[in-house]
Amino acid sequence: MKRFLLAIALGIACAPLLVCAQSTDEEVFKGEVTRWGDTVQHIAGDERSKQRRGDEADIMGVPADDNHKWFISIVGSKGCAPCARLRADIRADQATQKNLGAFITLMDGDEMHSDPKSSWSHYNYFLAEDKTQAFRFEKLGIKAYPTIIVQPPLNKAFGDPATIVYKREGYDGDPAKLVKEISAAIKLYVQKQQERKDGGATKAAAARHALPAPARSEISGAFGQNDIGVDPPFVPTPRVDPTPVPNVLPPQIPPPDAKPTPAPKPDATPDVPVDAKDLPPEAVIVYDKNAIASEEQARRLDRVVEKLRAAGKILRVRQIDYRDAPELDVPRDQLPAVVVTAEGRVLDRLTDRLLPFVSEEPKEIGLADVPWNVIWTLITGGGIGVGGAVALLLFAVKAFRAFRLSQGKAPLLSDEQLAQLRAQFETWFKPREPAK
Amino acid sequence: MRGLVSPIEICHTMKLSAIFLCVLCLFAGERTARSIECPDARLSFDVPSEIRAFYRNPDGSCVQCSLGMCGVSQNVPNASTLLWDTEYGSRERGGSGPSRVANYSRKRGLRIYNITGRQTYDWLRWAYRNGRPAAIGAAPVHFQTGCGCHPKEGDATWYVCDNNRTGTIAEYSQKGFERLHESSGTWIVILDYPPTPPRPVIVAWWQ
Repeated sequence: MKRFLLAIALGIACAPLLVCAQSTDEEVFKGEVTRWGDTVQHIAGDERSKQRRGDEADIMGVPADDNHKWFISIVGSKGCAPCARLRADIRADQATQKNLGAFITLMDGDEMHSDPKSSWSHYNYFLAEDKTQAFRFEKLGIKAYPTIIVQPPLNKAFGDPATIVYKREGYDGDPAKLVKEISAAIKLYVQKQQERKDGGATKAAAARHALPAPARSEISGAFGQNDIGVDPPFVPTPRVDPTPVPNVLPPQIPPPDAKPTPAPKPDATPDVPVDAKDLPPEAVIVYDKNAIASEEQARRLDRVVEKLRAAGKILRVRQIDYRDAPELDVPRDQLPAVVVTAEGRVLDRLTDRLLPFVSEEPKEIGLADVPWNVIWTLITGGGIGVGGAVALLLFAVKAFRAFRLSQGKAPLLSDEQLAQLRAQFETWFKPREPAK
Repeated sequence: MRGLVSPIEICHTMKLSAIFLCVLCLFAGERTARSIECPDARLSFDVPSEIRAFYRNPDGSCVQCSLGMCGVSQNVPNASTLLWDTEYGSRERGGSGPSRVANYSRKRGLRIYNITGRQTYDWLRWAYRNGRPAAIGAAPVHFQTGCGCHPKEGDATWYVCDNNRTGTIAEYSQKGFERLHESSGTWIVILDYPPTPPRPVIVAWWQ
């Protein structure tokens, strides 16, 4: 009986392990994960955008932290004209970086999110119809769209990031006004935060330049002031700026009509020259941003980079439009290409013509690779011609190369040289189209 | 009568079983019995359990289930709809590797960081520090959703949601998490989108 009870206890204890064990095979291709080794790959959208921006490149380290950015969230609804107007205004301000464009830099090709790297704020557009997001706002009782909400950063430099600093329901089509309201709310919030920290000293100072406390009757209904018992700070822009807060760095809020910052004047002192020996080996993928690469070309580029990395020839990979790198000397009709550089010098150029040969998976030389037809012709005393001689020569080169590699010796011809040789032969012996 | 066991013997056996269970828990990834649920300030992930249930692994699609949960947390419908045929693309089911994820991400226009190897821990800490969850290799040939770690540096407690058991978010010690993650081959995927804010709360800060 004792053993029976112990067996039951063991069975109960082991049941979670049985659940943990995966009943399906191949859920994760572990072999491929191992083959990838140490890799960081950044996929930046669709294939065309990849070629256009050239930002699908290997990254060496984690990006900079962005938990200092404020949050701007918009809850919109399908078929809502003010929501569409607001999104259009955000889009329109992108080029000028004024008004809403100063706060929000949209991700390329995506109007729902900001670019995490370049935007002043973290911006998200939520659809009221998206049930997977409804949990976020269910306690707010949103009644009108769009609803704009501003919250402090995640790093808690300005308090609890769940706090609503600004909330507005509805949009009247005036982005400059919206931006002024957001700016004023943030400044006021920061001032209040500082007052709490320094025990009211700042409040006393601010009282000497007191802001007129808005009466309830002054608060416009357009700000959505319908919450009974709640007195949110949806006030018009104050006539007097709040007293500067001591010892606090307010957030760098760009003014609504911010102009692009001019490039700094070049330093009078000459730049310290970079020692060419300090430049790491790298593979530069040169492409035409106006052209769309095929899947096959993209795969070849990946394979070539992998081979170079496996051979220890490169440490870094970057991509560049051919117009921005005339010194690499790659003609437009030979794009995309891989240029291998080290210590500032170009070591090799693998143009589009050569990539198919360099990127192919190496295979062992087998009986099927022997040009039997040429050999048979030779045996039977027939003339093999130049083409046959070249086929025999190429086979001999490949076989000898494979033999040297199997002996652990370096081949006499490198991959690139062999590829060039094959490409040249193909050009010479390419069947010509009959003249029309 | 033979075969009858006294209550004392039953208690003794139950005590032994309880001790055995605790020891088993200690060695089986060091998971704790405490539960944690969204929203929680320790997590960089916010998806209620009733939404996580949509991503219960139906057919060996653990990678897509994990990415789907990350998509909900970061408000990325392109990722949250991976398992179904939608306007964002056709369903992606079954097992995956880094290449497959890269291919369908390109096809759908989904922005991701696709990371393998030794640097996954640095990237995970970066993601959690900056309010982002991650789809992570966890347990042999399995993927789960990395929900956060606390504190963000040093010896931390790690939070993981398994798409085979979406109702709970498990906690792991540092060593337990390392064992869990490395048993899968150290591969993670992070969505390259801004984080979402915590659920907004009205606070009378102006008073």
